Amino acid sequence: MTRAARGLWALCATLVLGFLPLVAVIGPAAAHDVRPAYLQIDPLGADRYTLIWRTPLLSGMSLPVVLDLPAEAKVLAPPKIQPLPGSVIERRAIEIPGGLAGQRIGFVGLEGTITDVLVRIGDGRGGQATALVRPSRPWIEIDPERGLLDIALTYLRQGIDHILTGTDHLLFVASLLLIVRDWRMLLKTITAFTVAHSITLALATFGLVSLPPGPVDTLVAASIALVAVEAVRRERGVTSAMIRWPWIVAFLFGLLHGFGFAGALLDLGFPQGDIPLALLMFNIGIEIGQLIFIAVVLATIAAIRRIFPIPGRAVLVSSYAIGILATFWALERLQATFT
Amino acid sequence: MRRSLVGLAAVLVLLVPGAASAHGNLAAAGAFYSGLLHPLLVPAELLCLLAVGLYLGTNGRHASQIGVPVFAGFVAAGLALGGLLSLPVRLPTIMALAAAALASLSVIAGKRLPHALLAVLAGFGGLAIGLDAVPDADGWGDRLLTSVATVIGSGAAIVILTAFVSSQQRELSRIGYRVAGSWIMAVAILYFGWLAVQ
Repeated sequence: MTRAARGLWALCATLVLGFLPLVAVIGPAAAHDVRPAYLQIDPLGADRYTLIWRTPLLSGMSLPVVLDLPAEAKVLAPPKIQPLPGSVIERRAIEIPGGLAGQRIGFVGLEGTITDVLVRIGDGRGGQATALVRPSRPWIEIDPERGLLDIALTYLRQGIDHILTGTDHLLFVASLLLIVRDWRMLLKTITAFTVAHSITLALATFGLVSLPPGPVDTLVAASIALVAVEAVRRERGVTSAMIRWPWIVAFLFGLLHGFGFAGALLDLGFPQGDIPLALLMFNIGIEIGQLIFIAVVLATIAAIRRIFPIPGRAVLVSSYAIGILATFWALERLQATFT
Repeated sequence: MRRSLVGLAAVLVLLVPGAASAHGNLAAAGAFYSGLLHPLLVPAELLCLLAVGLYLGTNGRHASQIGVPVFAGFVAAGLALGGLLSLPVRLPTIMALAAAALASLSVIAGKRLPHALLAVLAGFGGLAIGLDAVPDADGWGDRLLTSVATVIGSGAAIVILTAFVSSQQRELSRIGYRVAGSWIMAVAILYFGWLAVQ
């Protein structure tokens, strides 16, 4: 590389590296704050319905979104508001002459947030229709006939969203890429991670195993730091069980990450009678998001390698950066667990 | 190093304080992805990105070593300048289309350009994308995050495209690049025409 090219490359590297810490500081706080709001509508009798409207609390403030019910809707009883840790639930009963079908429910203020609203509409016979309302289209046209495909797509999208906005899960996958150097081992490691988190996600979703979220989140952060330490050791020529068999580590820590995914899925709630479908699609969504991330990272690294000579210490620097960030998260989450 | 610091300072201008957003943290993940995908989802920026990537890739590895950092650096500079200047609304789009047309014209011509000219064209393309992608978020944190993501997204996209093109230099591939260049130029001109009659 010529001197001019080196200088220009240094400029670009400085720009990017100079901002990474800032991204990191802002990023983790956002990692899992994108919780959806939730509206459950169940028939109470002829043209009468109960509404459960749950909004997440963000930094102690309730979501600035208000339900906009059809003009014909009559409130049968004053809304009952129940504050919960992390959310507020509002229950009300309404009557809509002619029923809900074909009516529109709006979510005023949703367009100013990036929160989604999960809407479930019971049919009174044990079945439910599910839909996801996005800020870009903050209303729903009620169509009680929506079926399994809607549920599947809703949870698939939530799975992809969750992994792609879950900085800690992505960083764990990135740190695994630092210690895995061949395709076969990469396949084994990613598969082990997938199998493991699928197991605990299913166990936690069905309520068979339950762990408090605070310690789980702390251990997830600690798992990233630990893998980063191993990546540093590998760069220094040291070998260990974790370096030789990274898929075992991916499996063990994957069990932990599964509890993290389950927390997000439990926040979403489930359609009665379709829990296995929701679980399956959420998990597939997570896999799709994970594979997109891996593909983009590997393609970018391969492309950079093709054009620029990568300095020998690049892996070491990346490992340290990931390790420092993960340690910070672990301490922050540990403190949050005890306060 | 001095130039690196100047570039860094240019993007740091984005730190101009703004009104704090009540849901800054909530929007942060969205802000990052919105910045990351902006150059890929806005047609004029995508055309510019494709044309400059093709152009750098067809000029070989050495050209890419110069062009890619210049491009990424000027995306950052454009983001910083766009936050400070009040430009006519369509100017960045027109600049991006002009960069796309010029770069694709060079691809169609199939001639290697002097490195200085190459750097100017890559820088112009990057500047246009940066100016066009200035985030309109309220809080400075979101603006910064979105801007960094735009630099990362456009940088990664240009690196991947350039590396792919420079690695595929068979006769058939080169014909393919020229065809692609022609299409990009045609779309850029049509887009410009559409803007003109609006």
